Amino acid sequence: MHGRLKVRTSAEEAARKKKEQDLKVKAYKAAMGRIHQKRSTNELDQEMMTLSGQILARNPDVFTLWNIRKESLLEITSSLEDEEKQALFDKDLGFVEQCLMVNPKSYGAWHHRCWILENSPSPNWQREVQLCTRYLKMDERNFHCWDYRRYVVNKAEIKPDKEFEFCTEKIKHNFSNYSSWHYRSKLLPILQPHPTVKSRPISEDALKEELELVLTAAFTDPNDSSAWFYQRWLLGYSQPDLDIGAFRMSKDKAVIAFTKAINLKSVTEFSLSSLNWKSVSGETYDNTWIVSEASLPEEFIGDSSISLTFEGKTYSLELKNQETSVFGIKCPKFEYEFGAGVVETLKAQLDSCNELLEYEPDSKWTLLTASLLMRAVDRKGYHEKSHEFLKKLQNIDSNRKGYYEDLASKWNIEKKLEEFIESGKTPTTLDLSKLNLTAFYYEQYLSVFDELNFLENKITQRSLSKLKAFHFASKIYLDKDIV
Amino acid sequence: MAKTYDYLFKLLLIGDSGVGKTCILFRFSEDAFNTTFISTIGIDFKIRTIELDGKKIKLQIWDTAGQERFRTITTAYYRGAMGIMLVYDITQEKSFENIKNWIRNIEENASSDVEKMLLGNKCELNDKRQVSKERGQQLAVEYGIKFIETSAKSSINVEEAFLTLASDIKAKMEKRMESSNPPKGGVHVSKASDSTRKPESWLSRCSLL
Amino acid sequence: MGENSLPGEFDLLVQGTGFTESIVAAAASRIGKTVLHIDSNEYYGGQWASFNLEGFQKHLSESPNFQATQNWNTDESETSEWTKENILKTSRRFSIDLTPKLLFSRGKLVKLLISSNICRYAEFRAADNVCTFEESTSSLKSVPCSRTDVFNSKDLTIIEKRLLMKLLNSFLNYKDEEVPEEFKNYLGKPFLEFLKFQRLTPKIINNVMNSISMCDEDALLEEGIEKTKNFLLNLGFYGNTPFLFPMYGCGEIPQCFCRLCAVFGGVYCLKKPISKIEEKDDEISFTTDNQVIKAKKLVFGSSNIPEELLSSEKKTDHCCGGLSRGVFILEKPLGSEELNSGGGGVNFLKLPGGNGGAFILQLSHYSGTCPKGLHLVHITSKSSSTPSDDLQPFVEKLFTDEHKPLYTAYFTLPSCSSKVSTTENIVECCGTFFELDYDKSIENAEMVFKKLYPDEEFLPRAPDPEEIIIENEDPTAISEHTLPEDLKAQLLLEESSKEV
Repeated sequence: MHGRLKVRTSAEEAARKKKEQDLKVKAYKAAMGRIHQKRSTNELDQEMMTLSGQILARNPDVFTLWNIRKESLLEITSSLEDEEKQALFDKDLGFVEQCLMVNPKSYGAWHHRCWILENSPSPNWQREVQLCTRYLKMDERNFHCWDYRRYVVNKAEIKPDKEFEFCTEKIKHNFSNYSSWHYRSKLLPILQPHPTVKSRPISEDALKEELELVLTAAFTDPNDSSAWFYQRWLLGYSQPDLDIGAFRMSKDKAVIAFTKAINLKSVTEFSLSSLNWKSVSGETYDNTWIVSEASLPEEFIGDSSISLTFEGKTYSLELKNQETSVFGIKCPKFEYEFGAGVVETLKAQLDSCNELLEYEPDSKWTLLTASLLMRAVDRKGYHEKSHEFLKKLQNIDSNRKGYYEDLASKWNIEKKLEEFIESGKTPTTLDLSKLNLTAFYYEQYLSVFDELNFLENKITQRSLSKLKAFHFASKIYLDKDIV
Repeated sequence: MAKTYDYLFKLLLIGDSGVGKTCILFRFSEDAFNTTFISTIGIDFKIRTIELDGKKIKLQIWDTAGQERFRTITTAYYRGAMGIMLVYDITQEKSFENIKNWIRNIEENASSDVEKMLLGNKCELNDKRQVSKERGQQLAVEYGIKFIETSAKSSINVEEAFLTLASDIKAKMEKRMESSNPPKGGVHVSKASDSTRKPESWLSRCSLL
Repeated sequence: MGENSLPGEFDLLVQGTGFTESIVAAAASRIGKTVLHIDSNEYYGGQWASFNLEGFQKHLSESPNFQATQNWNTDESETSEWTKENILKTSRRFSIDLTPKLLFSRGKLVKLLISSNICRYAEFRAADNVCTFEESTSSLKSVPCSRTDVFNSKDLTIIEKRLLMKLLNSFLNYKDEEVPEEFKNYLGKPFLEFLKFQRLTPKIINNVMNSISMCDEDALLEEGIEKTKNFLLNLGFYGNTPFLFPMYGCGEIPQCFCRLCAVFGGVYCLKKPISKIEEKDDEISFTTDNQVIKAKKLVFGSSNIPEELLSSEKKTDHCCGGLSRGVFILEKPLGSEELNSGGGGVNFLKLPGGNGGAFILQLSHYSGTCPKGLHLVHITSKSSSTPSDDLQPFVEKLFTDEHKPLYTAYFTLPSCSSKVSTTENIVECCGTFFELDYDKSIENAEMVFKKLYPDEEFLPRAPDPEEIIIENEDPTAISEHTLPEDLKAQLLLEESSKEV
């Protein structure tokens, strides 16, 4: 009664697909032809909207068509009352949403959406926030949508605490998400700023909670780097605030070093601004600025401090007068100085790490976290121990050996620099030999020393460009084989 | 990759054997009529995407697969249906009388808010008519549903019938969405949902749409 | 041929619409065999059927070999919302499974549904939680199983989180070819012993043993690895657990296969007992409704064996059926509010115990199997005594005073008879098995199919409607009618420009 079912063979199917494709191309060409023809005669009308819409709905990445759409929409609505105008803009929002369903990562579509809202008589920002929530539910890592969300949240005047809640939900759902952690780091300083210390982004209470959250993520999946980045931010491994770091001036040269790069040409109220300052790198922004001319103003040698104003803020540095030069240095902030409460949390986390190391002595991320935590809890006290961990890491995680060596170099230089500054000595010589250094750090601070000893280290070729920062050094000792 | 429609409606065709359900289905989906469709096996639904008020609506229209013959339609057939076309043959009195039984069947198995519509098919065969248009109308009024006479063969009112049903479902659905009470559907397993999925490890969890 | 008479000849008669028989019917129809699929019951599914509450009660009271007992314990005061009468008013909202199951999201059944394209007939809920029973509080707790769960869990310390994640990863990466050191000494030894050696906390051991691997206490490490790995590999597809539950109950599943059988021409009759089965000269004849019909082959379900095929001595040796079942209606669900806030409406618990323990499913209205405000609990164990005795240890543990069931039913799904005579052309399908998913039943169906049609493919993918060539159609033609409206309009532009 029934024969077997007949199904198209793959060749027949391919022939059919080809015919279909040909028809589609034919339709596309016809529509594009008509669009270009209309544009040349400036017919920016409803038909233009329809045609551009039909093509964009299939392929939202044809940028010219988005522009034609903008022109047409403006033209069509130019003579309309606000209410009618709004209706047409809203309709176009509906259209963009269709395109986003096809490709939720279409630059053109998201951009067009912004444009519609900016040009609408009464944009409904709240609705846009809800749209973002919907799209982020489909794909919580769609960064186009995160960007758009920050934009509309701002317009809709959504309270940061609501956004923080949203962000927490997203992290709970999947913590492998750079965008949510990043958003968190933007929201927290607004919601829970540090009450007294400006350079600290968030309050101690908030910090305690965040540290716990991020360590939980790190313990759950150590291979996920997004949590690590956030932990770094919490522990203060971000850029330091601007300050004068060091200064030295003699009869024939001068150097001023900053915690981070600055354009010295744009500072004001700087008593030495008339000198011929040059950046070490030759760039407009640099952290080390030098003068190398013979005659410097002698009268300055008597001053006890130096100050300058940059972007409305004044910075100063105490100076010591020595026979042939004036000199000042301020110990860089290697880590945040945490309050007792946070230190307790950090200690508890360190204990957890140590407990875990009993189970997994070779767990690289536990070793690294532990050494970072030690530095945050008691940098000097744990110096040896944290170095021991880094050494161990160089062996068990040999792929990232260089990273650990560089980190150890940084910590060693920090230690020597700090010892020197605390000693109150004149910057005649700094002994940085036999420290297994692989790179230079804090080179702007090293610029004030007469003599620098880097013997018996592992400095490589790549670091040599930094030598020119050592402005006062008349002697630099380096191992033979690298020079 | 992503879906290309705003709504997906599952519609059913129900009625006695021989009233022309499959022909109505083919008239609407392919704009074709051929009595040999009836013996074409393997086709249990057809799809057509329509546009209503700027929204793209994908209609998935299911046929009974012959299980109406001995009244053995599975309960699974009714699940998730949003609209039902009740079809009788205006030249077959019996098929009209049986509509009441089909409605009882629907009440037992389909969702209580399913949208229904009554179709009197084969209206091109006026000289063989056994059921007057008035009786069709009256029955529809009795059940509070819409009614239209159609001819799959002569292509009369088939398009209209589906567009009417779809727009009624859409209106109902949008009303429900406004009261922020969107219908909750289940999960479908399929090849398609497989291929869109990134190769996941158990480490990450995915929520289905 | 009159309206109510059947064709006189078929390639295959399938008697019984249970899960296994329905797969065989679908598979035969799919390869072009003419199939008559008949059930003496007026409902689909046999031992795998689902009923509304009234139907369920009636079914239990009319099945003498079910050893069924039913008991109402409702509050009949005027203020009570859920009196017996009110519950019965919502009868149609219930879909109570005789054989409740969960599907692994990449298990045999899901794979079969996808590969055969039968998936389009079914809809599922992702289970919300895999639970454990916490003795100290006598309550249900969610077991963290995905990475997200572990991250969010408040029941584990961060050390436990790390240990659990590490352990699960080691199972996931386990390969027979290169057995890691820590496993080597324990191969062939109990899984539990291995876990105890891993310096884990009792909580983690319990979770891995009873909820994730669902191993019996004496299971060996090899089994533990395999089951844990399987659990983990099924995560991450749908929702938060590795499990799916068919919406509206498991009784839908056999019907999906029946639908496919019908789509390919299978003929369906319910409430049709058959009699006078005779096999002669490679042809089987039987009578139904005074009509004699012939079929080349016959398949029947073991819960409904035709009298003619019963033999006086033991012929086969199979182990299906023999389940003790409990069905409970609760107002206040087991576990916290949070545990029951999931949108899937399905929570799962495996309780250990002698004889394989018990599977427990708690369903809310989201699953489509009970009305809003009530919860349905299914317990399934192997049967050794009366169903209520078998389930007593589990019932006592779970249903403390605040969770007293409003309605309780116990019944047995009987073991199938081993006294059946089959032939080359008359083949029996097994009944339900004590397993969470359907693996054994699918294997059984495939085996039956291969016995009948050894050289044919088992349930190849059913083509989508648009792939099928309608008679006399040019297979490479494309009808412009099927193009989307906007493309049709664009093509008209092309024509109009030509005219200009």
